[in-house]
Amino acid sequence: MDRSFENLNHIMKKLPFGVPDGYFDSLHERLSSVCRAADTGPAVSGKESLRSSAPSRRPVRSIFMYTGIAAGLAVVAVCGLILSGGNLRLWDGGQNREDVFDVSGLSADEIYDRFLYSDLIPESAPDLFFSAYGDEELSGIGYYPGYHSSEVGSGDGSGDMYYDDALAYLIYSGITPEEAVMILDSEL
Amino acid sequence: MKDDEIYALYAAGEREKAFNELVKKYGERLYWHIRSFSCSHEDTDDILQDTFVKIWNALPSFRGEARLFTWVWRIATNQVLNHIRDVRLRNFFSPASEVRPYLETLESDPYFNGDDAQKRLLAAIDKLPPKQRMVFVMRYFEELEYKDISEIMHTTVGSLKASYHHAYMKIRKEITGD
Repeated sequence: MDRSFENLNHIMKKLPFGVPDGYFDSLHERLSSVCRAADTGPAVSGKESLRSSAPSRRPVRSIFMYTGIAAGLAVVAVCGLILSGGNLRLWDGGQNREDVFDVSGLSADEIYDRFLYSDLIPESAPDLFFSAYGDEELSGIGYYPGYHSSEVGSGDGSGDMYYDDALAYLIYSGITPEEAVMILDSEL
Repeated sequence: MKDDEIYALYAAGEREKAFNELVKKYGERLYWHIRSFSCSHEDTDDILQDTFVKIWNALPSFRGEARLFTWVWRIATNQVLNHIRDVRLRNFFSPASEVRPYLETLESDPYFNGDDAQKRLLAAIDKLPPKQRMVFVMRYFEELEYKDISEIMHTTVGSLKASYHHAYMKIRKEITGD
């Protein structure tokens, strides 16, 4: 590790911000009164209950959210068609699968959350997008018939599957297999 | 008070007492968790209040299957992500001249008491995608275990480790110029 960055590590664990005097002392009382107000009135945010003249931004936020979701879905559909010749496939260690990115049954919030999470996946390996989620998020994802994990039978099966996906994710991004294994097996 | 004691208090019908205990136990920690993502004390205060209002409203639907700590952190994390999204949308629709660079915002923050090196670190972290930033902050500043972050973000430990590693390398490159 670069020594200058090591020195930065030592001094920067604590966030370099202060707070107004007495802020935390009065926090408890303020939060309690905000929640009492939330109980007696219509559903409001903490900020709105203290600044009642401020208009609510929720309807505008919803419009932006749904517009963003629709635009995002359109982009993904077009990119998927272009990249995969009309058929989205999951990374499968060499085996072919018929699964496609299926948003049926998901609420608008869930679809939005999925795209929000997508920055965990590098652009060079778009198929790994699907393997970043637990199998409770995407039905059918996580256990692939015929897929061979490197640690079959040891401990939690779902954990074994994701280890291999994370390994592939790192290798795709240019890290050597040995270093990738070291990263995943150690506590960074 | 431990989490299971707080939950037992709530289950016994003492909602307000349980909530007060939550505020006492997690109020300040959540403040710093949120602060590490937002630029100003004022935004952090707003998000923190929104978070606790959500916690208060959602307490009746908390079934005790998840740990209280990860449940509370998940609510706060979602509030922060909503805030980041709102800021991005506002900046997207604002003229470029009105969008202030992060460093400028940091320098004008009256509560920032760090030096140049810390400014560079925070600026580098600010450039990460939101979720990757979240993973890095929770691991680096808050020193949460990967299994805790995994529960909070509904992401596998392997993905988190890989994401953290990438974030670390990006930040190091940004700071050292390598």
